[in-house]
Amino acid sequence: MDEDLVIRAQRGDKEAFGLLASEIADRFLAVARRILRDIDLAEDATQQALLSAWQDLPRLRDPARFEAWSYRLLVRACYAEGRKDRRWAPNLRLLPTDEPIAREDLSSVIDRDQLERGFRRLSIEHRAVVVLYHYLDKPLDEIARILEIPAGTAHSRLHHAMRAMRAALDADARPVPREAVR
Amino acid sequence: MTAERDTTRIVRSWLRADEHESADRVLLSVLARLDATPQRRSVWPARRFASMNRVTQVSIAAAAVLVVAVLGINLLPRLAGTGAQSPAPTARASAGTSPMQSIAAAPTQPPAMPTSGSVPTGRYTWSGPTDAITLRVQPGWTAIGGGAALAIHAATSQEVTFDSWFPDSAHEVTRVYADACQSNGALVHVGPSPENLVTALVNQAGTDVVAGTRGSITSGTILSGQPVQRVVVTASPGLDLASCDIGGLQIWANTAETGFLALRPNYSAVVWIIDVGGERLIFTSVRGPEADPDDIGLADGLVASMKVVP
Repeated sequence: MDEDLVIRAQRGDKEAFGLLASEIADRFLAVARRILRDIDLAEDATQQALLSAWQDLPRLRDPARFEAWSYRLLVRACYAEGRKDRRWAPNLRLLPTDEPIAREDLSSVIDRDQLERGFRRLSIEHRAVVVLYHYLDKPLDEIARILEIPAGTAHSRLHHAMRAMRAALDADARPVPREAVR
Repeated sequence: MTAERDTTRIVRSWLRADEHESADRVLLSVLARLDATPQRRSVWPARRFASMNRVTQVSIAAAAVLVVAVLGINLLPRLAGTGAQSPAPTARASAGTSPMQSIAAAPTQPPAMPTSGSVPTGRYTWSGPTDAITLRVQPGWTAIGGGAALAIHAATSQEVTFDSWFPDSAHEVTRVYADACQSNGALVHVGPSPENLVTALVNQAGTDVVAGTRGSITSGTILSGQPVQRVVVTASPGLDLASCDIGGLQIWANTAETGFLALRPNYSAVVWIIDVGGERLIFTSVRGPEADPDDIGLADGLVASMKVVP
């Protein structure tokens, strides 16, 4: 991350902030979508996090820590979106109708459904740790700093989340509704 | 049965499998709103404060207290006639002259603990369901966990944390792991009294627990004489923490299993359990293996400064 851009943006330079935001926006949306499992909620969270970054940048004391700080804003925005009383958007998946599905493809569909169900059962707090760790490859110590939680709690959340995901994968394979795989 | 390594591989692959998302629409919307969104300025220049050593920070904080006190004295006659709000806790704490004493005597409760960021020196409030605790925060602490906890050198081996676990909150402690090492195993329900929790901790496998005698840290004016139990939790001697489910110990979980008291290798925890009007208030301080004794002293000082506000 260009520290000069951060410093310029801290001083109110909108063009510098625009460059900063364009560098991080796609990644923010990808992270938010993986945490929230909903593109509309993810866009709202990304927008809120970027606006909060603009507003609070002058209060960031160490520009070198912009990345961790901005992820903290994003995760907070995800928490806020996750708490909103919105119905999840329907999660429809269209599959080819005529071609037979290879056994491994069918297995993959079942895995994805089980993963999706298992992941959605996790709290937003647990999901955030999983995404930061397994998607962004952040070490747990850094995740603890981003989320402002003790390192032990970050460790425990990851452990519990992965245990739940394993349980979801181990759940008995249910017969796939015919219309879903036709 | 899916092996742990397989789960990790499958989850990582699943998280990375989705298509690329473009945030162009969001970005345009944000940039269009910048003009109407003013920045919030801090009262000191960014960056400079973070690079100062603690002595300098304390000096500046002390000077700031003095300035606030002087301003308070000078402005008092005017403010008194305008129904002014009560001053910041730092100003009140440093007041010694008669004009300020009238403010100090006002029955105002200290502000709530900040939810994040460096916590300015002063007295703050942590509220329970029926009672509140006020405590004096010295320089060096950062609020974490939405203000339910404080930390120094968070997430490093020098870490010292101070957490509150109150009933009827997201951090209520109702279950303790039967075996702190085997945290995939049973969580044991704990009754509501301080003794219930102490007994559960003493009986927990995988930990070495030293429980203080009832009231041992309540001498003097601490907590207005409320009974307090102090428990020190470390790993059982000889226990190979690498063999534990998380490579460390898990002592307890909150009801939603989103908050944990967990110890990494060579970490320890001190638990204070306080009975206030039949409610069990819990405070914990986790100390990293390289924690500075001065920082540990600051955590002990938080407990020593506590007062109960009914």
